[in-house]
Amino acid sequence: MTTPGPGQAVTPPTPFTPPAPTPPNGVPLPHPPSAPPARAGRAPLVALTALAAVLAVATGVFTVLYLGERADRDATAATRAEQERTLADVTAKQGAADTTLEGNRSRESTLTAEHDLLTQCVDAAKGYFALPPEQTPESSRLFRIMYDVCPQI
Amino acid sequence: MTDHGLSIPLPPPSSPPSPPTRSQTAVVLLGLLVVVLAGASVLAIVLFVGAKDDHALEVQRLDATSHSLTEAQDRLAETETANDAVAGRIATLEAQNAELHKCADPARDSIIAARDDDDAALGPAVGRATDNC
Repeated sequence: MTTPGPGQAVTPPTPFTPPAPTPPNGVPLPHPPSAPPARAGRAPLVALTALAAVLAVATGVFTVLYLGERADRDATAATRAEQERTLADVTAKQGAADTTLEGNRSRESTLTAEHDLLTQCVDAAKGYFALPPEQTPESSRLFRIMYDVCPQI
Repeated sequence: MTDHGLSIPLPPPSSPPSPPTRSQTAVVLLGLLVVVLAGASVLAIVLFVGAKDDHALEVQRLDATSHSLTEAQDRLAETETANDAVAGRIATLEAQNAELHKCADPARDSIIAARDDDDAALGPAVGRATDNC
């Protein structure tokens, strides 16, 4: 080691760096070997995988929703079919009830008319037989009513 | 710097075209999978929307049927109530008429016998009328 002379800059000692690897022929490679561009090549894979996952989840969700809607629709249709059967039964019962009511009203009308005649006849008869045997204007009036009404019974 | 100062021609930095790598194959397969899944998503959405519309329509039909059923049941109940009332009045009238017949029938027979000058029938009929009226 020599000491620098006047006018010479003192350079600090550089640390030892290993020489670049050289091929056997001693020619250094202009481009040192580096890692393959894996990160850039994986970007489409990641994006497509994420998109596929999102679409798979969406498909699953909408499939479940579709199945749920279809099940609800089937349940509603079953309920409606049951109600329509009940409605048919009620309609048939309504027809029978209307027929019965019509018959009963006709029967009631007949009985009411008969009841009116019976009442007139009985009222007149009770009044007539309650009177003394002699003929009076009242007995003649009551007999006239009996004569007109009672044979209609 | 070489030992002998000669330079060897170097290949260009870009590599020559090579056959598809595993990464490219995966990208193609994933692309196909994405297309298939997109189709499946659209199909599922279309089916869901259709089923939702069908369900809404079925609910409307059910509401209409329920309304009709309620009306029919109310009308039937009203008819049965009216029928019961008429039947009750009929029973009352039948009982009253049966009671009235006890007097009205001999009175009728008396009138008919008197009108026909049937003395044989008149006496018993008047007797029954006197007893029952």
